[in-house]
Amino acid sequence: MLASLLILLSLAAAGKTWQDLSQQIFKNGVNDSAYDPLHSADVEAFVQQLMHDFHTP
Amino acid sequence: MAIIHGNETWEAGFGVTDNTTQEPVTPHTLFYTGSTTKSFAAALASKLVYSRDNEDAHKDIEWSTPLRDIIGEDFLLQDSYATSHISLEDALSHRTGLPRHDMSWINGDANVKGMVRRMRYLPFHNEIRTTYEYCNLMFAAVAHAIETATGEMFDHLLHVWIFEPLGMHESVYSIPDAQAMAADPSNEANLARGHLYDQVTGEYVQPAWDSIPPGIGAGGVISTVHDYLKWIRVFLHPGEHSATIFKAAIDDMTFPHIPVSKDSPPFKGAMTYGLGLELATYRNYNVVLHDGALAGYMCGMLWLPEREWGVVAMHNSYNFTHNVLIWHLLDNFLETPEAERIDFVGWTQDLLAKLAKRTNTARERLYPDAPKTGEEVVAPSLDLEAYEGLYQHPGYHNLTISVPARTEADPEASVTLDIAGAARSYLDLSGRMDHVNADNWMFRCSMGPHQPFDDMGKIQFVVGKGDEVLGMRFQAEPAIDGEKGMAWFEKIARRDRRLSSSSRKRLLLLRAIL
Repeated sequence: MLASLLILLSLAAAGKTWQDLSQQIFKNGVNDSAYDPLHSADVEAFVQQLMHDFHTP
Repeated sequence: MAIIHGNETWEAGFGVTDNTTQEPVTPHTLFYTGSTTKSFAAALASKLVYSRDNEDAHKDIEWSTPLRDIIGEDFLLQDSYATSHISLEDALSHRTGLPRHDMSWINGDANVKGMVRRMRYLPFHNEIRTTYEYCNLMFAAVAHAIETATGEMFDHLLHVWIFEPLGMHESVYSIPDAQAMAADPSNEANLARGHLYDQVTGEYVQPAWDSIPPGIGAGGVISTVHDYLKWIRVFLHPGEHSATIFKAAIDDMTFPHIPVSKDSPPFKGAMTYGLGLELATYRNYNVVLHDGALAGYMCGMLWLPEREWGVVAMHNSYNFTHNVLIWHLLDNFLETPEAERIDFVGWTQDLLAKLAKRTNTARERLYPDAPKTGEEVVAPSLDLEAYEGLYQHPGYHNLTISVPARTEADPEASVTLDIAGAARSYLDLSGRMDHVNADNWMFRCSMGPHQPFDDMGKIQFVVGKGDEVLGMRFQAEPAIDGEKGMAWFEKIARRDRRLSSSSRKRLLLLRAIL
C-alpha cells in the first residue's frame, strides 16, 4: 500500500501516468496489462457495427 | 488491427478471412496492403542513396538522380524535359505530372520493364514538379531502377533489405508465397480473401487470385497487422533501425515534397506527400499515413511520431472502414472530446454515395450536349457489325468490340467491350457499352458487380469516307479532360465472322432495335 502510494507520488511529481508506468514495465513484447485499446467494450461494439453497416466479412 | 505506443503493442482480429469458410481473422492474417507498399519502395530506393560504398554500382545515385540515368532508354516520355529530369524523388512523391494511366498496367502484365517502356505513349496532365499527380506507374519505374542498379529483383531486395532485418516474417510479395505461408503449420498465418459486396444481390464476390494485378513497386506487399507494427516502429524509433533504414532516409521520406491539398479535413492546414508517405497535421500533431486498396482488400497505417503512437488496420472489403476505425482509435488515444470528433461513419457513407452518384450521372457529365430523355437519338453511322474488331493503342492493352448473341436472358444485347488477350482482369472493362448519340458511346470500368468504385468513360468511333471504322477515341485516363485525354485506338482487324454463321441473324435483329 505504501509502495503504491510512493509510486503514485513519484509519478505525479514526474508528470507521468499509470499508462507511462505500464510502458516501462511491458517492454519488447505483447502487452498483457489490463489496459487494451482494441478490446474495450466501446471499440468492440464499434467494430461489429461497422462490419455490419459497411458489409465487411 | 493493431496499435503501437512506445514499446507496447496491442493486436486484435475481427470477422472472417473468407465468407465461405468462416475462418477467423487474427493479427496474423495476411492481407494485400495495396499502396502502403509505396513506403517500402521508397525505403528500398533510400538504400541506393545511403547505404553505398565505392564498390557498389549504384554509388553515384542520389534522390535527385534522373531515372533516365539509371534505366536508360527504357525511360522515355512524351515530354523530353520530363524524360531527362524526372528523378527518384519526383517519382516517389507523385510530382512528375504524369497521371495514373492505370489502364496501361493493371490488367495482366507482370513485367515492370514492359510497363515502363509503354509510358512513352501516355500523355502528361501537368508540368513536372508543379502539381501532385498520383501515379502508380512511376513506382514501377522506381522498381525498375532499383533492379537495374542492383542487379537484383525488387521482391528479393524487399526480403533481404527490409523484411528479414526487421523480423517481418509474415510479409511476402506474391500470392504463391502467401498461400505457402498460410499452408505452413509452423506459423500462425492464415490468408484473407478479398471481398466485394454486390449492392444489388447483397452477396459477397471474391476476386479470383489470378485477376489481382502484379506488384510493381506501387502495390503488392501481402502482410499482417502484427508485421506492420514492426514497420511503423521503424518510423517511431528511427535511430534504432539504422542498419536497416538510415535515420536520414526516414527524415527524407517524411519531409514534404509536394502539396497534396490546401484543406483536407480532418487535417489542419495543407496535406503533403513525402516519399511513399502522406503527411498532415491533426490536433497539433504531425501525422504520417498512407492507405492501400487492391482487389477487395483495404489497408491503412497512421502514426504520430511525437507521441510514439501508431495504428494499422487491414480488412477484406472495399468500403474505407479502416479509416473509420483508425480515426476512432486515434481520437480515443488523444482523448478528443466527443463534440470535436469528426463523424467518420457519416463521412464514409457520403463518400460512397458520391462515388455511386458519379457513376449514375456519367451520361450528363461525359456528354452534356447529348439528347435528353425523350429527345431524338441519332443512330450509329454504320451497321453494328462494322464496329466489331480489334483496336490497338501502344500504351494500353488491345481492346475488342463485339456484338454478342441475344438470348432470352439478355434480350437487349448491345455492343460490348473486352480486353483482348487478358485471361482475367481486376479492373474490368468487359461488358455492354451504352449508346449515347451517333458514334458516341460510354463504357463501364468496373472493379466488380455493382461497386461504388465503378466509373464510366467515353468512346467515340471515327468513320472514314469509305464507310469503314478507322478507330476509336477512348477515354483511357479520366484525369485528363478534353481531347488530350482521349487515346486513339486504331482498328487493326475486323472480327472474323465466318466462324459464326448464326451471328448475322443476330445482327439483323440488333439493327432492328436501333
